Amino acid sequence: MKKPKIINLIFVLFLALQVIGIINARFTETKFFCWVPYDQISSYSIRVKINNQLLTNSEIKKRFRKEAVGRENRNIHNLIAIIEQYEQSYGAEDSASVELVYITNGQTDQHWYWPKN
Amino acid sequence: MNLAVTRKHLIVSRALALYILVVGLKPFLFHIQTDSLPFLPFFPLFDILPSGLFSTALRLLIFAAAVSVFLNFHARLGSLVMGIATIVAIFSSMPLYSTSLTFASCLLIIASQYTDNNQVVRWQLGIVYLGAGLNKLLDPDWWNGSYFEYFALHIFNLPGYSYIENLLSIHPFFLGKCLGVTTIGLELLIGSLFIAGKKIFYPISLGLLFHSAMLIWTSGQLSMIYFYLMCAAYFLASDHIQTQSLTFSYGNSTFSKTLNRLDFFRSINWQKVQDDKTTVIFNENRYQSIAKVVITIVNHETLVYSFFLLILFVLFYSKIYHFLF
Repeated sequence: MKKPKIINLIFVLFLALQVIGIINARFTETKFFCWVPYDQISSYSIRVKINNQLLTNSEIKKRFRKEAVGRENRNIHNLIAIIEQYEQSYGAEDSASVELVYITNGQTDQHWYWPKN
Repeated sequence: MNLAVTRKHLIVSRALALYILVVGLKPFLFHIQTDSLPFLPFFPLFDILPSGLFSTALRLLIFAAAVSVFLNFHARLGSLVMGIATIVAIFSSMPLYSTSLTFASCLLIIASQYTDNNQVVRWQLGIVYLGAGLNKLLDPDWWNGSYFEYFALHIFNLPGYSYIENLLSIHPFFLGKCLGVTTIGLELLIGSLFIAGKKIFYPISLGLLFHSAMLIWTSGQLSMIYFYLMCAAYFLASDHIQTQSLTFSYGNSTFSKTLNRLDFFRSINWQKVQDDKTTVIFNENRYQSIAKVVITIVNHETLVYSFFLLILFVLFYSKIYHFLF
């Protein structure tokens, strides 16, 4: 059965958007919508302090919908983007300080802090 | 449209819908109190929407679409709606994003428009593999062996890795480098073959080999879901695997009538006949008595469904096993 031209056109656009996503990922640290499963592996832990009080692991999970300690099978900057966006939007009034410690592909420990210095 | 095309679309859509319901969107669909959307959306516009209304509408839409796919009631529309709704859910929440969920929703959209021309599926698969390969190609950790070294020794503790590495200890990280380069080469090759190759058989075989090897090597710890989704995509792209539907001619026997009522998914073509003899027609052959039961159990379609259900079962069994022990 032949598809109408408009459907073919929609599919061309649909696939072209994915190609744009792949090209765009070359210029960004985060790797969303660019088909990169398991591009890097990071072991990480998140610590959040609000009013000098450390949040528990379950509170951190509730905050970011991400495990406090775990493994990220995609680019670690995807996780950083989630934390950053939360702290800039929903959590802005908490004035939380966040520390993310991670090891990517077995290299040395990296630290990322919020707020940024 | 021929029946085989319709059956193929149905099988793939059901496999994908099942994945979205029980794995991909499970937290959003079933943890109603805690996991509402939007939550940290990709596009700030989503934050304007009232969370309760948006989440409820999206959940209802996804469940209704799943029902339509499972009951084969406007199934093509159902898979289109489910694919689009899943993409909307991903757009409305960054933590929800995963490559497999995005891939499943794209595939549902493609499956909804599937005809006997598999070109769009081939392009979709080609783009996925080329995207994955290109990213690895430009990442030094995939060339210097550190990705695989960490992956094999520290994350998955893979059996035999240290032993083989010691045998090949010519250069540090030699095995890691070999595996990295092989993966890049394979992904680029599979992607190119899907797009430009003449025969679909080669990229599918290579892909199956690649994903199966990963699964076996990591003892099922890695890529189970990816294997499941890729099998659904390969099935849609394949010219070779065809399913012939089963026709069940039944008379007045209570057993057949009960069976008919139990076929909620309308997977079988039911034909009411005057005589009391129940017959199963498959591949233009008629089967009766015990042969009828056997052919019902082992026909292609049942086997394909069983294959997808088996992978999901193994996935959940391993989760339960790890939880208990």
